[in-house]
Amino acid sequence: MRKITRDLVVLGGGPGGYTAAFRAADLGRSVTLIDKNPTLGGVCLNVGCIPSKTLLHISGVLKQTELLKSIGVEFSAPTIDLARIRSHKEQVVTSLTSGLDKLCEARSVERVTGSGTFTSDNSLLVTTPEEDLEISFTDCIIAVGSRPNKIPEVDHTDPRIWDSTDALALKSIPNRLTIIGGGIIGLEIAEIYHSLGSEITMIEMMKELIPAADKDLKRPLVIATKKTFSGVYTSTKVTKIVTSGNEVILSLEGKKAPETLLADAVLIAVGRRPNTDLIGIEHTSIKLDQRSFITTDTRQVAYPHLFAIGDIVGNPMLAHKATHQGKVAAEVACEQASAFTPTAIPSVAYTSPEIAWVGLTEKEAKEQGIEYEKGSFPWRASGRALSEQAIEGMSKVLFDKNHGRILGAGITGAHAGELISEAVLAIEMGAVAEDIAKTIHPHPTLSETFGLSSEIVDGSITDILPKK
Amino acid sequence: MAKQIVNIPNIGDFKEVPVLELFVSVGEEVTEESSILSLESAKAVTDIPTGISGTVVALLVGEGDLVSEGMPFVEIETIEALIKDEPATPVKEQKTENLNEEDESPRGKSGLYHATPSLRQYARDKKIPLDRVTGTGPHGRILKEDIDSLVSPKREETSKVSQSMRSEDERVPLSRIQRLSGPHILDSWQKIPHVTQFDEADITDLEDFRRTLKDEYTGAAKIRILPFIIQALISSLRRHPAFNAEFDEIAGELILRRQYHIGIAVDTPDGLVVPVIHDADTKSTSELALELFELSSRAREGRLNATDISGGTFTISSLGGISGTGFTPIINAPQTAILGVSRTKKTPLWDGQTFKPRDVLPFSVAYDHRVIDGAAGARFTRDLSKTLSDIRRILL
Repeated sequence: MRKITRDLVVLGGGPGGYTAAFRAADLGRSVTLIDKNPTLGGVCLNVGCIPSKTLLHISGVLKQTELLKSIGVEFSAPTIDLARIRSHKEQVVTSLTSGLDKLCEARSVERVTGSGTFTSDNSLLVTTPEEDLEISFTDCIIAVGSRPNKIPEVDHTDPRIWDSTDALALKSIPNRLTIIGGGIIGLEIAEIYHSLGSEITMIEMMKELIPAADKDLKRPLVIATKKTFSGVYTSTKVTKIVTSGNEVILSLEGKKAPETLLADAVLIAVGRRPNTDLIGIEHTSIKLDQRSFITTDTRQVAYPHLFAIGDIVGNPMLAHKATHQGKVAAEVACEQASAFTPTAIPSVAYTSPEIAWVGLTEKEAKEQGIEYEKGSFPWRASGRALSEQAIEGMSKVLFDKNHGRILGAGITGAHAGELISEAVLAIEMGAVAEDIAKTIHPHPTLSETFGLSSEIVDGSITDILPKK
Repeated sequence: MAKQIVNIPNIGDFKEVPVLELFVSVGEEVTEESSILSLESAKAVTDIPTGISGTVVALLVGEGDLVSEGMPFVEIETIEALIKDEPATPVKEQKTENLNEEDESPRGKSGLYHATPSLRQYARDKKIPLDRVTGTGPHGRILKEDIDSLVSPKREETSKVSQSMRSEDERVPLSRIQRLSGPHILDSWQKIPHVTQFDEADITDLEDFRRTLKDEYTGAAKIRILPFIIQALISSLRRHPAFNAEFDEIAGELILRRQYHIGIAVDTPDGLVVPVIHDADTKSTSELALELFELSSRAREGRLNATDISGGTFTISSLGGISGTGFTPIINAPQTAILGVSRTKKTPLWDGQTFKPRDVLPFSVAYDHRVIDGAAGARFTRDLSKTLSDIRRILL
């Protein structure tokens, strides 16, 4: 076994890890970036956000053609060349990951490909394809991410039992795809496969799809899923999955659900778990919490000289959270007084319509007894939404009744994920309704609707009747 | 992992004593003897140590807070606890608590901190916890200036200067009075556009008169030149009310004081203090002399109380007892002017026919140019000069 000594080591090359590595290198540290895959980007770039968005683009455009049909523009049914779609998706991923390789090289970040496990608070054993390497380090930023949860007693090796990675590999289009888990991942993949021709059945244990989001925001999506999917069963448990026959047989338990369900493939999208069990964490002084997360302070310090960022430090498991934490960890390692103290982290479901929300939801405000004023602007009253055939949308914003500052916002409709950023900025800057109302939004745009929802609370709205 | 909350020990018979200064910040290591803070009781400044060694986890009081015996003021994680790893209370629990204490996000504390991300970083860089900052921006937004106002200039400078320390150099701590008055002096200097007008007065006749009193008023009652200067000054101030005033910047108005509380800068072993002769206009010259004697003795013994040093409407800084031909005193904000008195000097003056040796008192008046213009400044100093030159003018 070869032994080497390095300065700052980043374990995990996902968005959090490579951001941390680049930032630390830019601040003058000598950085070694370890990932088990030869391509950087982690789940997000390789088997998550990016491939799913590439495929959702297809479903989005197909949906648009459906809408055009209603206004007199008809296309013939599309022909789907799965191999070409797949290679396009792979090209998108490659173009991003090769860009990362170049950025690594330009910054002289050393790359090690292999899985790393801790042997102490300041050493790692990395098993590369060629050798076993023991790396002693001064600082380590742990960014090993998460993986899909599994359901016990289900044969996950069966090719018809998918996780999100299998689904995004786009190997085949099953006639009947059953999706267990009505969260963002489940819904996005449902949409992809539905547009490619699968019949979708969705099963969710909780009372609602995307439990975290407010009801009014979800309504257009919920209605859409009920129209297009073969079945949406909430408050339903899967008690058994039998894979011995030609079809997968699921046993269900729920008020409206059938007792059995047949499927050609089953996607299990019931959340993700941190990869903290795969890296020999027990050889360090870091203790995990009950859900196997690493606890850090706001400086991302888990133990002196050991930093943890991204999915392994808790929810939300989002790339944009990880990248910001990565920067904080790198800066703290470089003795800067940085801390991860965002006011809000936005969430986006890239479904159709999209749902995006940030900060306090109405549900949370009620639970926490926070008095708020709400401005909710229906897209039916937006000229741009009407022109775009996107009237099934709304923009809503909550302001604190006492200090007047924005608490949260939610947008549903086309491009909601793009539109929400203005609300995030407003939250970080502590805007009051008047600030947003007096900010000139271009007309006609969908972004106007956020300004208009603030005008409702400000009392200056003219596009609809003001509140009495 | 033992964390210990330390309470204010017995500090004598005092309650609600203000915290003068915090010497440590969160994360700092302290020993048993390390002073955490200093308290200012009526008589003395007391430094309060922890009594235990460890790392400061949380400071439970801030500068200016009023504390009494038995009140918790600091939380220390003891060194023993850091070494011992007790599985019963794992690290993560303690870390979670840290997280909350350091949580600067508005959601963490129900919208307490109205500060943008860059400002939150700025506060971290300056080591100012946001819960100690009062926002003065729109809707209570915390501004950069609000954080700057809390940065102790001393501590900032120390770290910069320390790099240039050489072995033969010596560090001398400022006196308590210097530490306390420094920020106010700086504030006055930075905020007020000063103009200093120089003039002199021929006080030969006044000195002649004063000499006639020598046997009549002795000891503590001895009348020096300063009580006469106060009398002349009040006489001039009556004719020039803008000099016995306060400037209300926010209202954009001058508050003319109808009372004459004259502060006198007194040199003490501990530094400069400014006891105030209240209602000086109602007092005779001999009464002023007695009160001056009494106040300055108490000042030198450090026995001034709060009322002795508050309420001044005008200030005199006299260096006449030492030396100098003129200086530019700093106005004691929010007052509008200050009188600086230098050393009387025998000077040949032309009386129209010949040079005669005269006692000439050089003095200067610094005034706030925002509220007093140059002509008014010159007229006031001339008036004061004439009054001092012929003390009978106070009868006018």
